[in-house]
Amino acid sequence: IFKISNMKLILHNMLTSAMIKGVKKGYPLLLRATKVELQPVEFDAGFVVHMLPRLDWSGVTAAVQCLNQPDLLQDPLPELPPTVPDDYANNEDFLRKAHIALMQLDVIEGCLVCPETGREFPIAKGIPNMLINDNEAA
Amino acid sequence: LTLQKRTPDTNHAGKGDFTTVYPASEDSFLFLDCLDSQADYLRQKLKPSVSVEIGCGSGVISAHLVQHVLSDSSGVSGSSCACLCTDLNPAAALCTAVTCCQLMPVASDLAGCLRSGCADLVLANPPYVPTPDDEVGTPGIAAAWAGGLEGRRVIDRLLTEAERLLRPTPQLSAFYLLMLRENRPEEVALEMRCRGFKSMLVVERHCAGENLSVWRFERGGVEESEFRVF
Repeated sequence: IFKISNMKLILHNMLTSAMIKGVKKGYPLLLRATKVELQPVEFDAGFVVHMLPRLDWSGVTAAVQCLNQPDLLQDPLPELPPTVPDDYANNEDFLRKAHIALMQLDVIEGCLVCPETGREFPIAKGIPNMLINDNEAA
Repeated sequence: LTLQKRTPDTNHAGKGDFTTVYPASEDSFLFLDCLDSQADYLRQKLKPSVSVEIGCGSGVISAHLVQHVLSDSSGVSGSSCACLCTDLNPAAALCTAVTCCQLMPVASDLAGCLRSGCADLVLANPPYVPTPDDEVGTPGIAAAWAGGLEGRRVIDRLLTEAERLLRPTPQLSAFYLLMLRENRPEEVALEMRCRGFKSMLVVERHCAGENLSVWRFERGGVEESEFRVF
């Protein structure tokens, strides 16, 4: 029995469809998840503090919003502020919510959608497939 | 106190569902040696938040990075680094997920699906074997080694991709690339110099008829600077 990693929102934050011809930004990708699980991971404040400056926070909140679908998750989604608070490094309440969003929401099945072309990229067994055909490439 | 060399378990690669996935071989182990020798640099100087391995195969290299190189001396994986892995072969992406549950794999051509400037560290053990050009990027395991003319077809694309992925100066960033003597590594190093990277040969070994080397290309690095942009 293997423990397999599933797509986390940290990965979603880095993904773009900009390799498609004609796409200007391709970010953030819409997240249409059909199977998501809350996978408890030990809270690591240092990890969140180290990662936050490298993330596009609006992409994080957008992804969490996409997961706000009826019957998708049994547990409630973390409530995230629209911007990162100035005191984030010492704000444990914020860091805990950010950690849940970034590291504990496992997207197992669904798809990612290019915001400009609507092109869908499947997520299966927790892994996004961002391969495109030669004729789609920029 | 003996320094025990640890290696991630990738016995599942090359069999069953992962028949088309390149199992860890001499070139992979040379890359692990490179990372081991660069442990202080990676932990204390670069301190990466985001690592991207392009062409991860079994995932052995990134697994080693997160489990043994970036983790603290007690062996607890408290690494504050998101380790992303890409591969053209979806079976390799899945194999990587099995190799190490902390890795973040995605099926992709090079790293085209990742945003520019997202990484501090890029790793690549590319298809380096000189082959006919029409063998490059074909479905199946041959894509893992077929490097086309002088084994440089994928490497040349990787130089541009790594440059794009790494965060811009003055932030410190590094790109580790494995090459074969026939790829003309010194020429690649010169090309990277032209692109603003300092080049350094980290490890070199002659194994199974191949003269292999791993190079580090480094850019930026202003001391005491902190940039926080949300």
